[in-house]
Amino acid sequence: MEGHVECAWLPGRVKPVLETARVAANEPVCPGTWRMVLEAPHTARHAVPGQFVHLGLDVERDSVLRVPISVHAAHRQEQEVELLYQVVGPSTTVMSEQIVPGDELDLIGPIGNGWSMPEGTGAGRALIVGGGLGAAPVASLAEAWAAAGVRTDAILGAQTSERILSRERFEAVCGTVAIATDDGTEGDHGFVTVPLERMVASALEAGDPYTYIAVCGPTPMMRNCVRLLPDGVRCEVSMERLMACGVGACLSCIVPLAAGGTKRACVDGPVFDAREVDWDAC
Amino acid sequence: MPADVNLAVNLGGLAMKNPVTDASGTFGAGQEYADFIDLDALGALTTKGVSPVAWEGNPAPRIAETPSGMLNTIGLQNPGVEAFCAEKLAFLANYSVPLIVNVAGHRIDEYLAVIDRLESEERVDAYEVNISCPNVDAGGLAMGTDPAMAREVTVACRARTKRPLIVKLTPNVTSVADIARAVEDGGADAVSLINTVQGMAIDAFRRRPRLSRPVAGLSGPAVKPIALRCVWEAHRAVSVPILGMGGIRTGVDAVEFMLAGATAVAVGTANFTNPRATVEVIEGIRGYCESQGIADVNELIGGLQC
Repeated sequence: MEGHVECAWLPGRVKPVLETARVAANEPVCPGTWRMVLEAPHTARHAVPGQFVHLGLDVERDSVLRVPISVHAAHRQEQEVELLYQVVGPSTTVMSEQIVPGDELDLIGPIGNGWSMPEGTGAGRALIVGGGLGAAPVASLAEAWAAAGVRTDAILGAQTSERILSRERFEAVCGTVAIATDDGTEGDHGFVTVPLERMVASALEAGDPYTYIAVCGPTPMMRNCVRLLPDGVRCEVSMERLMACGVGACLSCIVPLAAGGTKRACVDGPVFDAREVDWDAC
Repeated sequence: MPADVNLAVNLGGLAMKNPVTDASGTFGAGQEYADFIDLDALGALTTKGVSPVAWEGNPAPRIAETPSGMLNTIGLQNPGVEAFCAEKLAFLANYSVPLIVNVAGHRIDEYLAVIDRLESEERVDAYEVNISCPNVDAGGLAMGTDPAMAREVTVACRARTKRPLIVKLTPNVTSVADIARAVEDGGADAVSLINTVQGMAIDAFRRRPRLSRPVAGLSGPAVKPIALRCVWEAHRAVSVPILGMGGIRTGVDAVEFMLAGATAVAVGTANFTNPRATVEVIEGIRGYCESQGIADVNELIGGLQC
């Protein structure tokens, strides 16, 4: 790794930088979810699937904290990153109502450990599960595993069919994209656990089991998916926490671990081995 | 051509090349900020609180954003003094910035255990004793809320070290001046203030506190007026130098604290908004002095006219 991009205290990781982020686009993609595109050269060049940015909004607002948002896509050539966000509180309301193309924000990025990539030659099968906004950090994951030659399937869940996010990206690289909706307007009528249980079981029965499963979405959804996992299959999750510093210093974002102790979601995560997390304490 | 502004100050025996340090708890032991600033640009680096053994801290949620600030109930999570020496001091050996180690304890002998262990570590330059910790030997009452207890902690720590001893005061008291006088009397070389202000945040729809503990610590711009008032009151009460903090974001904020009586300042919550806040405050102080024709930043200390 080039010396000037290596993290000062985490060897082998590209350092996060504070960079200007000019807004190229900011628009709704479906009810409740927006897509923001930012010119952020360092993050666009170096982000790997599963990392996030810590976005700063106009400093004259009443708010002191940045907003951590996973990188939905990183376009190296265009030097742009895409973020998906839902309007759920004061900061995301400001993002949807007050930020327009041409605005100059800033962000710290890329941050975090990222999803694991395949080992070896593309053997095995991957299953990527994205519930709600959890689809955002796993689209690049599916693309990366498929590009490495691993057969990849996906499960996307949402309240209703029109809220399924970024299905085209998954359909472009996955063998199967299963859908689950709370209201039954598409696919399985229920949570992602319905197709998850079915697909894992049928892969096992066929003698062609999934060897890597990634799950991302609200914590209760991830907890329920992890409970369904067969033994011995590698599974990762991405933990979303409230964050203050976003760089590993303040200890606001800790995740309790099954073996005791804690890790920081920002820099030790946000990706964790599914069995490492103390789900009862989350 | 005017000479450069002198920014150097002396905080109770700790020579600082400029008045700015970070506020304990917002900056780890510095390494996570090394990607954003040159740690050696700081007047001093203040670590997170160090206890004799590892403290786990509180469950999540540990923070809540509030108007112009935030509440935290981290719970002083830290790996304990041995791990601090093995891990954090090793990284800081790469830098020469003066090092203030913040010391935490639940009883007086815990503070002493940390100081005793660090006395043999050459890298450490000064101690900041956090007396906002509850004293389990006194029914959980915070050490720093009672002048006699505050004095007792200070006397005990004073006996263990010749290094600059800074005692960090809590604003959650009736009289900051009384506590400041007590720790000055106990032998403190300097006082730092303010620690966080006790506050709450409530989720009206879940009908629960937003944090894992109902009462947490408020920091950020919302507390600046309280912090300035406390610094001013302490300055009128004691002669030892003051390290002022509470909502500082800019060089002008820092100047306000110096005018109120602070010799040095700490930047805390602002690091979350801007990881370069510390160095920008240093440059802001320099810019203020240049534009005001101030040759030496020490002219500002206690310079408030009223």
